[in-house]
Amino acid sequence: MSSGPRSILSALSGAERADDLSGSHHQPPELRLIYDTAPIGLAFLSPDCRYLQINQRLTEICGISVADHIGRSVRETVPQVADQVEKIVELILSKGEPITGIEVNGQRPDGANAERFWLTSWHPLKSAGGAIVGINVVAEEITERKRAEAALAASEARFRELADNISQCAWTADPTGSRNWFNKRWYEYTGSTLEGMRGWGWKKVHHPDHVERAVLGMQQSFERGIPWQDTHPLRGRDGHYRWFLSWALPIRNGAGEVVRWFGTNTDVSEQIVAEKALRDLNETLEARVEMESRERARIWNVSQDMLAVVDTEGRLLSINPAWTATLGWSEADLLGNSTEWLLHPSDRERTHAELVRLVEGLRTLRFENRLRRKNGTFCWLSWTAVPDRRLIYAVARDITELKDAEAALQMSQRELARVSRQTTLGAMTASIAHEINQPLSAIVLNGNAALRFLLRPEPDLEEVRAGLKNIVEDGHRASQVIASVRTMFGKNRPEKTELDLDDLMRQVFTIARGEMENHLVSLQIDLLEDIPQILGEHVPLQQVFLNLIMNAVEAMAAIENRPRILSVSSEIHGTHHVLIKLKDSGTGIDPNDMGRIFDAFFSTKSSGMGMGLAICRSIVEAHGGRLWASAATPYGSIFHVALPRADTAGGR
Amino acid sequence: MKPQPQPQSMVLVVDDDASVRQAMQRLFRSVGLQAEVFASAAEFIRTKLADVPSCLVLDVRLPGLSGLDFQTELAEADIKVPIVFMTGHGDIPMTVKAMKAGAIEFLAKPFRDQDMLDAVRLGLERDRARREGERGIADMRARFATLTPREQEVMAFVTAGLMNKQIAGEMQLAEITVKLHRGSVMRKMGAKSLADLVRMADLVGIRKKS
Repeated sequence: MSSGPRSILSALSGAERADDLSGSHHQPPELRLIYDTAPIGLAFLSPDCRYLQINQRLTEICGISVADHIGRSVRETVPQVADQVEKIVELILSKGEPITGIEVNGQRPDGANAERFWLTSWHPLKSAGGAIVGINVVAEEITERKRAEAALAASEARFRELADNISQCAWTADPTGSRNWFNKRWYEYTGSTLEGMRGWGWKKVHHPDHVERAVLGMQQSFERGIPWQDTHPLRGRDGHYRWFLSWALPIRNGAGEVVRWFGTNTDVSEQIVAEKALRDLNETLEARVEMESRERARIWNVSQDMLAVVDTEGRLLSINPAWTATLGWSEADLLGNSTEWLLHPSDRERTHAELVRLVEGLRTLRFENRLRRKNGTFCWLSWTAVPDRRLIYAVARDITELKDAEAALQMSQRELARVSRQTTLGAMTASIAHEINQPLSAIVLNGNAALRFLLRPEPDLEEVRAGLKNIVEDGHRASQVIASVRTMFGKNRPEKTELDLDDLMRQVFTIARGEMENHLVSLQIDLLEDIPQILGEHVPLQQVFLNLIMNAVEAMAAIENRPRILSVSSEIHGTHHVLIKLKDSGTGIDPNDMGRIFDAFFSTKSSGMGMGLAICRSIVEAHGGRLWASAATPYGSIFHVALPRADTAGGR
Repeated sequence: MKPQPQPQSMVLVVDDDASVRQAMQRLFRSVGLQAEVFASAAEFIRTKLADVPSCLVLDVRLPGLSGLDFQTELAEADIKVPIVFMTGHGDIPMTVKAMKAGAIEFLAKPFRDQDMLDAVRLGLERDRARREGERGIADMRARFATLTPREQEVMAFVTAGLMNKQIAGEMQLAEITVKLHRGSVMRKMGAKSLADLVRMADLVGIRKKS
């Protein structure tokens, strides 16, 4: 167990000879104890690399005891390090300077343990003469540290490998946020170097529009020690920007202090583009919806038709400008109210009924009513409306002009009927009147002249005779006129054919319809089905019925307190005739007049020649039929027209 | 039938009915009125009428041109003969139209003979007065035409109320010369007084407004 501390001490106290330094028996035991138990290896070598002293710790390198080391060379005991040691010693001997911090490594000769590392310091001990008498060796085993370092390096390498090969950019920063490392992907992408990026140099690859926000966010994050996140464009080496989602996380030690920041930048351009496309799509969708809404609003605003949303009470909830344009009332006048106050009195009931239908869920396809304009006139409207979830969507079109045209058409129909009547009965009666009036006038004139000649002091009898002769001639002439009228409506009627009475009546109704509607006369038709054909002339019979209908219409013109109804019916009359009955609800015929109404020139009307019924009777009788009248109950009158059947009357 | 000497007056009858024409003529003859008859307006227009007071009796209903249209046509041709209308079946608008256009009377056939005779007499009287008035003016125009331009000028000034002295100044003549012209004007025009001459100047249409 001899050891070196003593010789070291003696060397330190100025020993001059190496011999004096060998041996350990001079050492006090406590020093020896310290020397042997020190956690570092200690040895004292002679210039020729032999152990003068060695402590317990250092012998563990080779497993040889302390005592067995003394006097033996390094090459003998630890050949694996001998080369290194001899070189160091040689260097010290030549330079006379200490060498510190040099690593020595080697394995045990048996290879039983792994390589070990030692951090060594070498100090020469000089004699008073300056000659190196020995070398003190301090060896600290750093095998564990070396292993840890290697492990760390390996781990670091793996980290680099990982960090450099991930698809993201990655970086680290010190606790203040100053960046000190970037992964390979970062450099590849940005085309930069660590020198350019270090600290806050990375700002230069950020997009100018976004860098301020990123820096500010990061600074706040670093100050408060909380994670940071942002999405921003980073410039690539090609000068183009791509979008990155960037994270920075604080890495803390056991005490919770931030030791560094670890950040990543993930390329999210694809997602951003996709998102933008989606957003654009949404925006264009919005724009499209907006455009459609605008178009709908335009339709609403420019429509000439009146559009309205109406509730089930008929109140106008929303109306378009056409309402004001058409009716003159402002929106304020109309909204919130029903159109009740504008309705034409005659249309109220129908309009209410239509609203009820709509509320029950039925559509209005065509409905016409009148609304009062602000100027007091009425506007005809044609409606279509659809109910939907307690609301009614209605469209109304101004058809006033159409109605006027319709009225004009009816007027012309009436005119046609009138003209048609005039050109026959009217013209006929006027013509007959004139034909009779002329001889009558001449008779009166001649009579008067004859009287005057007769009453002269000297009567001119020649003039009286000539006058009387003319009177007689004109008397005959008048008689001939009447006879020719008889002939006209009497005998020798040509062209009698088989007629369908149903067709004939319908033609008459068509002609008379306008006049009946104008006088608000309702027509009730009850014609026999399969009515036998009659024998007669079409036009005169048509005139008869037209005349009878017009008389009925006129008879009802003054009736206000009851419906004006004309009922036309047909029936078989006896064996040879068909009977048409025309019943009106008019003023009726005075019983005193009943016997005279068919006489010529009899009229109860202010206008008219009183020839209508006379001619009608002539025509009917010329057909071998009969025309008569009776009072209807409770009011009005009935005209009966009996006409011979073609099948049984024998073609009279 | 027409008498040779110029009649005092003439009734003109237009009616398409021969019996009526004949009877009308007899009626007028019975009261001593001469009547000429025509079957149509066209026939009437073709005939040269006597220049005597006349009255036209016209049936409203005529073949071709109607009585009312004929009335209008006559007025447009400045033929101012009074008209009495007859009609078989007249209505109020037709009557009003005829009367407005200056008809004497509108009678419905058959009419009372006295009504017709009264209307025709009124017509003849009106036509006579009109003719006299027209003849007076024509005479005066003829006399005025015999004046020299100087005399015509003097007459205009005199009837405008100017004194001889003023007229002499206006015309740059001696007053005595004006006096001579003035005397000559009075004589030639047949004026009995200054008032008479003023009336004549009015009728001839030369009087200046003073």
